[in-house]
Amino acid sequence: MSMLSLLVGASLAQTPAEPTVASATAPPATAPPATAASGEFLIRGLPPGPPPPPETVEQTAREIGLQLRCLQCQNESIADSNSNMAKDSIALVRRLVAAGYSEDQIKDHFVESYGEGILLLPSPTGLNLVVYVGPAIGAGLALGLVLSTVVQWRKEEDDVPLPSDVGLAPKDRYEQRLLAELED
Amino acid sequence: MISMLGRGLVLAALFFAATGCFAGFWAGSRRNQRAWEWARNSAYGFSASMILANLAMVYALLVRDFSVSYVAEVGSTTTPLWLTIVSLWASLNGSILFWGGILGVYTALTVYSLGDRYREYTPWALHVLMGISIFFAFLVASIANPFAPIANPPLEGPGPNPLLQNHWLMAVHPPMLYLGYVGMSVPFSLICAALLAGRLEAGWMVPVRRWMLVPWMFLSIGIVLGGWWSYAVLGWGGAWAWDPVENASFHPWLTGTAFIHSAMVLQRKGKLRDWTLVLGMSTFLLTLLGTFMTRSGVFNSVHSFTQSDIGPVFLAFIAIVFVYSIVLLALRSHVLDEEARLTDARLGHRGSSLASVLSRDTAILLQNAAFGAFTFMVLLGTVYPLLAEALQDRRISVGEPYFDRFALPLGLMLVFLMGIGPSLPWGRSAPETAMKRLVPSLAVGTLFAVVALVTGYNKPMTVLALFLVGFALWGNLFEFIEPVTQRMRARKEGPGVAAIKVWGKARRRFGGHIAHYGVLCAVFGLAMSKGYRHEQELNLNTGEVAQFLDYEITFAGARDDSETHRISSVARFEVAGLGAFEPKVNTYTSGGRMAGQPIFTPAVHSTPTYDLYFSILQISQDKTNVIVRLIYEPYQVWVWFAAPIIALGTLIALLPPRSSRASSVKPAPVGEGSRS
Repeated sequence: MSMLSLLVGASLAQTPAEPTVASATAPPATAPPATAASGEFLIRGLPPGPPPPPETVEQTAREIGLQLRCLQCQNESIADSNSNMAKDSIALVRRLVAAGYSEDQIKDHFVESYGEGILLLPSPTGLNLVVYVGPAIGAGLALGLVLSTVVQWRKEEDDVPLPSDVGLAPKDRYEQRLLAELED
Repeated sequence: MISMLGRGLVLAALFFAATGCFAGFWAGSRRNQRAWEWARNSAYGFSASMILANLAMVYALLVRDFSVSYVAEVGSTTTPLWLTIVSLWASLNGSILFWGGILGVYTALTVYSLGDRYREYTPWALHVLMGISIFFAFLVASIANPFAPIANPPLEGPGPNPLLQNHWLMAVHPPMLYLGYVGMSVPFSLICAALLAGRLEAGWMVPVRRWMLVPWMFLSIGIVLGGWWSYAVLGWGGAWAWDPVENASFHPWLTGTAFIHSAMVLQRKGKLRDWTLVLGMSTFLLTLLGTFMTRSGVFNSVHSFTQSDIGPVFLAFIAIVFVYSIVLLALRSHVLDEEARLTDARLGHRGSSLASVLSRDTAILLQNAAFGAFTFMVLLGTVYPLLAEALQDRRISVGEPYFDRFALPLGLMLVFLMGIGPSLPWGRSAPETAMKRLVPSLAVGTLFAVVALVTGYNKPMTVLALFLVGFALWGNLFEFIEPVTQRMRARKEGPGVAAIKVWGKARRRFGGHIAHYGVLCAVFGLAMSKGYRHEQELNLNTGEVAQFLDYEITFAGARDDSETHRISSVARFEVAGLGAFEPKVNTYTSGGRMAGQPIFTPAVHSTPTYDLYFSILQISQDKTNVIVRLIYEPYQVWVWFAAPIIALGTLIALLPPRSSRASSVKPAPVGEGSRS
């Protein structure tokens, strides 16, 4: 949603600080992972794991990108957005994945740089539990209401066959009722 | 000149709304004939003034009268004709006026269609409807006044928002949504009328349900068209992003859908009465909430480009309607008990006692519970970021991964229930009968799942979704066809005659089935396109060839196209066997502060089985290099098919029942009548 992000971005005083990674000096995705010997890791102070097979990088990066919000946009992930900022962010994710960082490490890095609002799936801690427990409580309540209503209905029911049903086989009885219902 | 005329019309509308509200109350509480006529005429007066005020604004836009504040805000001498008319809803003040106009149309149609029947209720209904109208007329007359005169009119305006200019769907999607939103005032008023009158007969549920169906249909169309617009313009190849404002339109749709179904139980059994009333009233409240979300800018969302100080006033109105609804329900719903006349006399012998677990009643009950939980979940996820910010000053996002997680099981459960409900009879059914109905559905579902597996669509969620689509499809199809074959056997009629007789007689039921097919189309399309979407970014120089899935793609070059209102950068791609694709990035010369922002027009090749989607991410200055996003989505168009099918089903359900027309022409033959 890039033009949207631009529209919104214009009114938002929310331009985030540069990430801790200096993208200009970062190696391209195909380069070998940065090592302690070269002076600095892609994420400062955090050594990456073994790099994944190159052909999986794009897919993994997209999956992570779908969980990270483009800050210029409203509720749009950096994987989907066309905005410049999202393009830079997803490129960074690609480099980090290629370097061997895990999904959690990358997400943590983004949270550190931009705050927890970057996560489209809020972490289930503290007040955030509201959005996880809430639907469960809602569903439980709804189910309880259904059960009590059905019990109520069954109590009211007095199992007398319809006058028109008497003497008919169950199947015919059903068909009879079906035809009758159509007359309503 | 037009300023004065428009302002006069709006003030007249405000006056008529006020008198109508008062006269409706008078006529309702005193059973006063003159007050009733007064209320009715005021309602027509409100409609006429509001519609004329809208026409005055359209005229001002067409003649580009920049002395009218709204025209100066969104008009421009360079905008094409269709866009000039569409500018009516380009910005806040115009869209509130448009809202008022649609409220006028609905008011007139409601008053006309109810006529002199239901005299116990109609004065109260007008009382409430005109009460709502007072608020909107007041908005248009005060803080959202689009007719403010401008002393030194400019010679040129900024033109409407580029987003509006970029796609013809913006001429259709907003009015559909407005027709859906605004129309929910009518069932709300009719429900309040029942509570105020202290009675609720089965007869009154007929207009209540029909007037829910009308805006529900428009809301359904509006939502699908909004998804289509998102797909056709935003460049990410998706229809639904769980944006707060998308959710805002989804809430009333969820409760409205639940209402349409629980109202059947109410009409037929006299059960679920209070719950149904709550659903109907919540639907209206949620449309107000949705408008507030869209128009107040509270979510800083993509749709909130029209921000103003209207938010607090709207919030106050929502609070008033909320409290009013609760008080009305608390004080009056027990009165309905005493006057419970809901059970239709004709159904009495069957309607009273036949609820059992294996019944359509129970299926609808479960469906209502699922819709209730669904609404609660979406609402919670949508407003939680505001809550977190207010309580703990934290900026939290709740997005697609969250909503998908909860919506998927709830949605699949609803599809399952959609297959069960129509297959089971009202009342009760013996377990073996129920199984006999469900086994063929299960078989068809399994067939769908097997076909999916064999053709390579083997992700568990897709297979499950397809199983449920097949299951529900057969349940509905069987109920569609079975009565015809029954009648053919019972009456020895040919298939054509039997079909016309049966389908014509129970339009409501078969219209409902058709609407179900529409929903199933969307579910199928979503399951396939979301599950098997392929996406790739390509960075190409002119003449370069690249591979995407089985497609060989050549970047043939880029150019600039100039039109009167925009400049487009066009990249041309040639795909072996499919021809040329020309996605664009448009820059609009008009549109106020939004002018100059890049807006995309992806190039899409749509077929019934797949879409191939090209969206430009970047074109270099010298037009020799392009970064393009390619998306392959199977069966995407099936999602759009939902809109016309749902609309068709609703329209069929809305046709007046033939029996009432037939009986007014000639009495039914005795032989026909004795059969039931």
